[in-house]
Amino acid sequence: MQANKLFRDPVHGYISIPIDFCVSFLDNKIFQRLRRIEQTSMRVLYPSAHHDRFSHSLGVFYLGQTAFKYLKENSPCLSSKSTLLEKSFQIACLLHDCAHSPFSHTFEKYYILNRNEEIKTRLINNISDKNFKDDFSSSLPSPHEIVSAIVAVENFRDKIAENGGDVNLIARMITGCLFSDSSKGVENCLISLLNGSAIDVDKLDYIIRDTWASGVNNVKIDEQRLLSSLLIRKDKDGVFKVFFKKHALNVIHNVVEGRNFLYEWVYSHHKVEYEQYLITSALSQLSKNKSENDDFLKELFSIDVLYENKKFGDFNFYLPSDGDIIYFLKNNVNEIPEIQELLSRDYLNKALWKTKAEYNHYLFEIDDVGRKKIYQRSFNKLKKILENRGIEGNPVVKEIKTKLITIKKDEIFIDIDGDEVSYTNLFPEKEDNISRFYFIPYIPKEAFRIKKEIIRELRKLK
Amino acid sequence: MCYEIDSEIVLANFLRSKENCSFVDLINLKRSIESSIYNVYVDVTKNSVFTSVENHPKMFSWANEKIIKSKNSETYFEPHFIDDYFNNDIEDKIKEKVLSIINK
Repeated sequence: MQANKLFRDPVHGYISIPIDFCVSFLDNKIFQRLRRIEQTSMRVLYPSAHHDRFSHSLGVFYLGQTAFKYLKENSPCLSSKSTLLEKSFQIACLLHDCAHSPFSHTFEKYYILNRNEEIKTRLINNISDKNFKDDFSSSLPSPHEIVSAIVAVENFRDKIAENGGDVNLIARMITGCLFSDSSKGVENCLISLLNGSAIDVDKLDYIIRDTWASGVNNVKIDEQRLLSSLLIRKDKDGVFKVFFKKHALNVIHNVVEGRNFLYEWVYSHHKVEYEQYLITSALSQLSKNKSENDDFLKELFSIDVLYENKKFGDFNFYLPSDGDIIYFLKNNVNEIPEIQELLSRDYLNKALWKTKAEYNHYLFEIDDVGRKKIYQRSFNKLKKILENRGIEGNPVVKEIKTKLITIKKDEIFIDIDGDEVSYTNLFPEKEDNISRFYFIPYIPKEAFRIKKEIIRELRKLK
Repeated sequence: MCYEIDSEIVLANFLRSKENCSFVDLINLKRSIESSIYNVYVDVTKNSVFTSVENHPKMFSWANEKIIKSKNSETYFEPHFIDDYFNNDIEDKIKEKVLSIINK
């Protein structure tokens, strides 16, 4: 009987993790670093949203463990080779974000900036699966997924083997790299259950956890009902696919609604977007002041600082976390105005409009092309208006990319009494011809007394 | 200074003269652009590509894991539209080089 440790999680209740996993993967400086990496950028908006990548990783492990339990019950194809797959899936769930950069997605691009090929080669050279290189060349992982896979194969290789996992498969699960080999259909199903496009255990955890941590009134997701409906079986063409049983239809609907709610109203909130602008421009400015060619950022967001201490001028980079970034910024508060603004949250600028609905109201009867022209010309125009009126400050104009999803044709399949039915046949895709382009101008507070006049001037730019 | 280029810009320009765009096409374009211009990050992650297609339903659709032009989208792929709508978002310093690589 395997001994387990129980973790109390406010979202899922008790999460039971084998002690061997705790010793091998959790009690480790790289994994513990995740306690100091914020889960999302919405902390600025919701005071209690202090959850981190550590609790999210445990949550994804729990959902992955639960999903596999039900998959085994529902899928005869999993019985013969399930131990290796189960261990690999669980370890991949645990390690899927192990190298997430400080402030999560805000800075992850710096992991691969100017060294994308070098980083990809580093991963490929660590994988013994001969088809990996070709398969990887047609997958689209995020920078943090590539780096997390590298850390998994470099730092946890022996531990993965000791715990009965397949290191090559785990790298594929973390990066979403599917097998082209048709005999690996079951493995591909598991890859998509961790790193898919519509519904996977990663998304499921962050939707539920971010909703809980923010306290927003989002739809409720019955994850037990959803996961208990999972099965893997061959489709009519003999290809293994993930199916949901019909009793989960309402939960699938809620997952899509819940995710889109968060993207529309929380992650893309005008304050969240402005804070992102401040921290990104402050750190870029700091890098420019301290190094040539952004070497500061290149070193700070390198894989090797996860393993050992690196000196960069007066700085020490080691297991970088959110707190380190804030510390670096605080030390340079007098050099970069955005840092003061960021630390005080006494923002110099306010959003001219706060939501997509308001934007549609103010730019009514202007088509997409006209709106785009206004976006492209608004910075210079706003600068001019402020100068003419003697108002101090600099405007900021941000495009807001709201990552909404709809279920695509043949993306999710439902098992109705043994029949294979595409989700979009049951719930046809809505005729959606609306462009989702949207931007927010931020102007100094003082300029708000002429808000209507500014909007009139912007409308003329179409 | 990091210049970020979104996948929608790559897709729009590439599909101007092609029938479809695969993930491999996007990855190759990313590689070519990034290796030619320092400090450029081309976002062709899954998240970005899916968002680009979702956000421009009049222009882009999915067909067999590839991105194709949507039905009746001809006007959106005319050069002046692509230039005005997408290419004006590219920093002037790098615009010419980026476009010459995509349109090669």
